[in-house]
Amino acid sequence: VSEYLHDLQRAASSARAQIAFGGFLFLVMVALLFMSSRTGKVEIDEGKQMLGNIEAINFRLDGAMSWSMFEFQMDFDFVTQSQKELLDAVTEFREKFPEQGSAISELFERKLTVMEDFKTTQSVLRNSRTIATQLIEDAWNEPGFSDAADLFTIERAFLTFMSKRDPASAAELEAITADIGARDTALAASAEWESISAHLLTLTRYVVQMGELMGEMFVIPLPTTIIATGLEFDRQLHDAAVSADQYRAALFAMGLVLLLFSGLMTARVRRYFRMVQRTNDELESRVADRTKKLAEVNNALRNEISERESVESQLQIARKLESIGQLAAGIAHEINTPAQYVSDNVAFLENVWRDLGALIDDYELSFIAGDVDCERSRRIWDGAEIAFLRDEVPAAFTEAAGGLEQISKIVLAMKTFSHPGSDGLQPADLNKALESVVTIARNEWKYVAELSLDLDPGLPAVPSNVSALSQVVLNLVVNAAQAIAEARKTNELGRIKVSSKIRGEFAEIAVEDDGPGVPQELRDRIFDPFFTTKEVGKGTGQGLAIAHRIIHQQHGGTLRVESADGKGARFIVRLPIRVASPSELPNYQSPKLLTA
Amino acid sequence: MESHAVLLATIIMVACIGCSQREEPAKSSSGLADFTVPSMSLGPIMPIAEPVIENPEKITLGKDLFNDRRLSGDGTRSCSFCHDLQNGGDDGRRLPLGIDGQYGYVNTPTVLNASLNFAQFWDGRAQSIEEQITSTVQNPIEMDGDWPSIEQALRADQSMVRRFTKVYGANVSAANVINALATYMGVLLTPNSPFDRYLKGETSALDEDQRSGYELFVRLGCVSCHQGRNIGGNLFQHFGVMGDYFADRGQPSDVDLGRYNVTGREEDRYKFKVPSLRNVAETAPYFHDGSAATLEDAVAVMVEYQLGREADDEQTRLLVAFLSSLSGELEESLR
Repeated sequence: VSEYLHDLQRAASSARAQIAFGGFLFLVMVALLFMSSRTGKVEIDEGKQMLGNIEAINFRLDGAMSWSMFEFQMDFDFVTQSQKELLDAVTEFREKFPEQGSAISELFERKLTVMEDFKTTQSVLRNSRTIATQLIEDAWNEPGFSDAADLFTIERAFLTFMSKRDPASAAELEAITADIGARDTALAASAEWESISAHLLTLTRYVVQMGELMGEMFVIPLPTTIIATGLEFDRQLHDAAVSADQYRAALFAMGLVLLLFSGLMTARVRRYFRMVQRTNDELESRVADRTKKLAEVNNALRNEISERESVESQLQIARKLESIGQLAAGIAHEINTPAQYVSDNVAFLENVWRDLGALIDDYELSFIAGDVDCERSRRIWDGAEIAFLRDEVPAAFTEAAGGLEQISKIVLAMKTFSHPGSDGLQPADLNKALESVVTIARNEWKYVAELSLDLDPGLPAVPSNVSALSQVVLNLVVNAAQAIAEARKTNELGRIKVSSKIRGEFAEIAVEDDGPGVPQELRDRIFDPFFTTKEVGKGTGQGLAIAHRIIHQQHGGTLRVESADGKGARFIVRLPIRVASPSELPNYQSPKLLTA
Repeated sequence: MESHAVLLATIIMVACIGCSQREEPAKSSSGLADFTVPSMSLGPIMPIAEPVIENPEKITLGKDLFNDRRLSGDGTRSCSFCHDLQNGGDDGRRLPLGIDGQYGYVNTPTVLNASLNFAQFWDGRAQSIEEQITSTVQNPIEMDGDWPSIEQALRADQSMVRRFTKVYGANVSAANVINALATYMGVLLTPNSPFDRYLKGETSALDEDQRSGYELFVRLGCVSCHQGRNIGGNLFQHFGVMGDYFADRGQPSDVDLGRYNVTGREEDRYKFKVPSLRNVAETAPYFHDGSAATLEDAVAVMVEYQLGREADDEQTRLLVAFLSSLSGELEESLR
């Protein structure tokens, strides 16, 4: 395995290096992609579009101006609107392309100024021409002009100027106007002439001005600058396209390299995978091996545990037998005493019967044979002590019957106690069980203590295993008696109290004594298996441990001890009155693992 | 698995590189200014359309700001202080009454239809309504406001903050205030004047005098400058084409230089924006210096100095009758 791992490690580190190289290639490609997007192509395209827009609006502005100049359009809204649009377009362009924009913007400012002047000039020019025409026309119909020739001359000069629009004809019109004004003083004084001459002079001035404006307008190199900027954009676009092409070629090359590399990588990774697969298989077979062995060990353990469990249950039975054995002598004594009564009384009755024989014989002689002898009869009667018998015989019977009853009671208690019972819990009269236990154990306690029973007659039938429970209580009673006996210094009897009562949902059985009690430091250990304070050989140390297990595991109840040093001990068993379903039984944990 | 993913990614990437650069050529035809030709107008003057109200809440906000004195430095002036929408959209004074008893230098132009003008102020120094708003609000004589203080004052007003948030999705800012005001001013239009209705074919909208007045308006040459949909407001013109108005008036001042003050060009001396004649009957007194107290006075000056003619009483009456037909209607909710 370590060999495989080593191989794998080497493969992994070389794979890491290759992945890093792949990552590097990828980064280079991303960089190239980024660079290729930074060639400014998009911006230049946008710039060209904006420039095209400016060109179009500029063209339209020129058109609008011509339209206005040739008086097809009588208002300046179209010119003004085009001016405004061009201003917006140029401003936007300059914000985006300050370098090219500033040149165009500057030229545009010049054009805008000329355009304003154009509107100013055109409005006056058109007005003066219209009014002059109108006034001359009116003059033909009015007698104000003294000389029609003058009117004709001036009209001709006006029309010549309007068609030629050159400085010479302007000078001629001005000269003729001045000449007529000087010659014809009457006319010169009239309001009409004042208007005509003013408008004619205005016209000559404004026509010249308009010519200058147009000249100025046409030298503004706005269209050429727009076209030149467009060409520059085209060049930049071309450059951008070339460099984009180069980037694209590089990208393609890199892509091929990456493709090749990733192909290589794929092959390698495949190999590594195979290697890992082999290692894996090897490891798996080893693991299977181990698992098998473990299963075997596990089985062995399980067998051991079940063996142990059977040993334990046998131990419990043994313990029971042991307690019966231990009690046997006492029980024998208990049976012996009443048996003695019975025996004595029977012997007495036998004697009585023999004494009564003479009386019966006499009765036979007298009554059947007819040999009546009063003297003899009196003697026999007196000898039979009938008065004594009348008292004693019934007493003897009573005593014998009492003795037998006692014996049968003990036997019944033993039968109750030693009944093997079933594992299950059956509703049982706890009080009766307690009485039996006290009876059986009588010989254990009667020399050391007075035992009092305080049983609650209202105690309901409690689900329990009477046999096991009796053993527990017996254990507690015997322990109590032993404790009292150990500590006893005088002949004074100690006190044991066995009681039962209902406490909430539990039936509580308490066995208390006024012995030395359980010292604090032992209290936690007394339920441990093999713990005993008794002399070697006197106890197995299993009693309380088994009791604990019976109560907790089998009954789902509790067994605990309350004790104050030197002031006796009180063992309390609590059993649930309600039948607990098996799942509700706590998962039993012996104070210390029996299997440990 | 992983190796397949790497392979796939690479193939896709190479494929992408191959295709990505083959994009379509830049759009050249679309996106350019639309080159439609305006319909040949029948006359030099066009009627104006009803205002289009796209965001009523923004308009209401602009209207309230227009009337809000917090926009001035000392809290005494709102826009509406000088631009009284009930009375022609101006203040009816020769010169505006500014902060602390100072007087402005030029006559207050009306705010009505101002958005149709190609430039703002008599000298056209503002090319947009927005520029005009900032200039007026900050002018120390007119409103003497400053944007940070205005923002602060408006932000202290929870209902203002709520309204701005609703309309702009943002808190009060100078830009938003200007935008709201400009949007409001953009719809302060007065369509349906008798003359507009006349232009649209309702010949009975003008009485005989007014029709004669219009003929005279064209024949005398007024229409040379006062043309277009706003009857003016789209060019600069010398004040005194046919005579020296300022010499005759006397008391020359800096503001008389007009456009010159903006451009510094000799040609622009005494040039002013030709004002719109819409609602002109409501906006006396007239001219940048407010020197003409009545329409008759104004007509007389214009005919003399701009047209080199003289209008007799009858002509003046007819012209004034025509000019009175230029008063349109401002929608009630905008006042």
